[in-house]
Amino acid sequence: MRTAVISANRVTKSFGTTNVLTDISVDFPAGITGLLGSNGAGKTTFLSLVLGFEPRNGGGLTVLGHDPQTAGPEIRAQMGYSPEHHHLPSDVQAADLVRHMAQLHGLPQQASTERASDALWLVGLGEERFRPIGTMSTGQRQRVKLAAAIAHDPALVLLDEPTDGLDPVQRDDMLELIHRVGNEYGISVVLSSHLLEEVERICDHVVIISNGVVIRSGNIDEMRGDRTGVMVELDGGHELVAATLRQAGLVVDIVGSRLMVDAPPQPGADPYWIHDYIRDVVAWAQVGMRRLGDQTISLEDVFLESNDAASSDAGL
Amino acid sequence: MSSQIHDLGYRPYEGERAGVAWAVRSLAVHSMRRALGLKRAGRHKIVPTLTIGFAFLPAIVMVGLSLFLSGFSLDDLFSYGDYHGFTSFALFLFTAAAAPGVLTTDRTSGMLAMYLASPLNRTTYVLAKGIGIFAVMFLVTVAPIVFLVVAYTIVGAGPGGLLDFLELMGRALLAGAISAAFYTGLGIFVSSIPKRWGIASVSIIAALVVPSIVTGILTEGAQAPDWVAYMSPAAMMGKAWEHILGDVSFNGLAIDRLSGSLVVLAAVAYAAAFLAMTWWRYQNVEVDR
Repeated sequence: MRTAVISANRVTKSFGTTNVLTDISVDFPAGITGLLGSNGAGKTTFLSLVLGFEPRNGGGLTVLGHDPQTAGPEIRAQMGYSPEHHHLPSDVQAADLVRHMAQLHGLPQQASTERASDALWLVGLGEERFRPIGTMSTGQRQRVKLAAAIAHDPALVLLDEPTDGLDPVQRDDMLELIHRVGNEYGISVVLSSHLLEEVERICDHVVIISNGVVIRSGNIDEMRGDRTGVMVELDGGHELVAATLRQAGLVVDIVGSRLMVDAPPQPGADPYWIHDYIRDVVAWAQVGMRRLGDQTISLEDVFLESNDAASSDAGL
Repeated sequence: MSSQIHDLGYRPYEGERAGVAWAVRSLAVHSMRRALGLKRAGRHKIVPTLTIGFAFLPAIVMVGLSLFLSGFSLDDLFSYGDYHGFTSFALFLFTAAAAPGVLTTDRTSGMLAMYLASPLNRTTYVLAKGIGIFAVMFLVTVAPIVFLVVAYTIVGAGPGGLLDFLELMGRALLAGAISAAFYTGLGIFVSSIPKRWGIASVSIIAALVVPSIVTGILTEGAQAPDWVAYMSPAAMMGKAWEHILGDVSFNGLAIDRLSGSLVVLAAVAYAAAFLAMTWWRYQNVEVDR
């Protein structure tokens, strides 16, 4: 079993009379975890508590086995952080900034210099490392922040919207880099984002926050697997096939050129009986079949369903 | 023989890791470098270079005169205790350039969030910045007077014996250290308030010059009580130097009528209060994440 790098139990945080986090109870396992939520959901506030920037109002929180409120410096020495903003001091060279951050995290001068250089090569800025940050593009600055977050070889990095301001090609490159950090470098990653697609692409786990509450968390593949049913894509004859399937007691929705078929569970039956049955009906109807397979669920579906459920529970 | 480039990939770090004290030292050294414009564009070096030059200028002139004019003595122009008065303009400028440059920019460039994500916290961050500024302030407070004492001793115009030399050196170090602490405290406190570098700089100059003018008018023109002079940084620091270096002059001003020891204590208290207020300000400052 993988141990949790972050474990939160009924964490609350308010600023004045505004309750930003009302109940955060979740474990972040080792690996790459996406922290997902719309803007204002409480993601950045939660990261602030993880880093020990702010004291929480209630609940328990451990990061790498310690409470950030009482052991902040010890925890942060083992963590890397890439903030959401990408201003950075314009007249400082990338290598100097990364070296400085490595030193602050406890590395001696020479090791800091060497690892800063290595980290900048790893993020693709080896040739650019002596350039002042003010002359760099947004994509390059995001890479500098990532290099600064990993140069001291942390156990955990928090990346807050690391693809913000990047064009599609730069975004792909950044996601690939983060994937390498989490899988090849052995560093656990918490990727805070409001972009479902990028979380779905590189994360093993996801934690979805809405209005200061964790509304869903778990392994992404398992979440997708929650749904049963079959999807069949046809060239024509949708109504005929759908009507025939409904006569057999199946629930069928027509979505464009696809039929979404929900099959009731049949204990003891071949798990693929429904596939065979649909194939036979389509053959009988003599229409062309393009695709037949399990219904897949996207993270977007999970996110929207979870949000709807949370809204219903809240009586909204 | 052919050579090959090997992609070493990511290498875990197995070496030693220092703690918070190392982080404070690293940030203090980084702040000193930035204040002096080191590893920065040439324009960032202009003000530090000029102000340090101004702070040394009286000492260099005096040593030069001693070397080339026979029979010239320091007492002909000014005493050691007057040195602060000759260099106060340079001190003001240096404070106004150094402190905002290492504090306000951290808040506007987002570096504060990155520092607070390291082993530093809000208290150790302020401590590191304070140490960094205090160290560079030595260049304009302690270094010139020490240079003057040493140079005078070398050219035979300084203290007579070793004990006198050591005593004078001790007094010079104390006077310089107190003024370095005072200007550091004032500089970092004022720099902790506005977001813009320029506003912080102008505010520091104003905080140093305006009270001196106002208290001068109040005590000499409006017959205000003498203790009002405690609110004039320039007059106070001048008096403190005179008291510590044993060269008390009396010009009939309100500051001259105050106890020298109390003025020194007041200067130290001001420095401590400024540091405490800066600490308090940074406990509440909003971090741009």
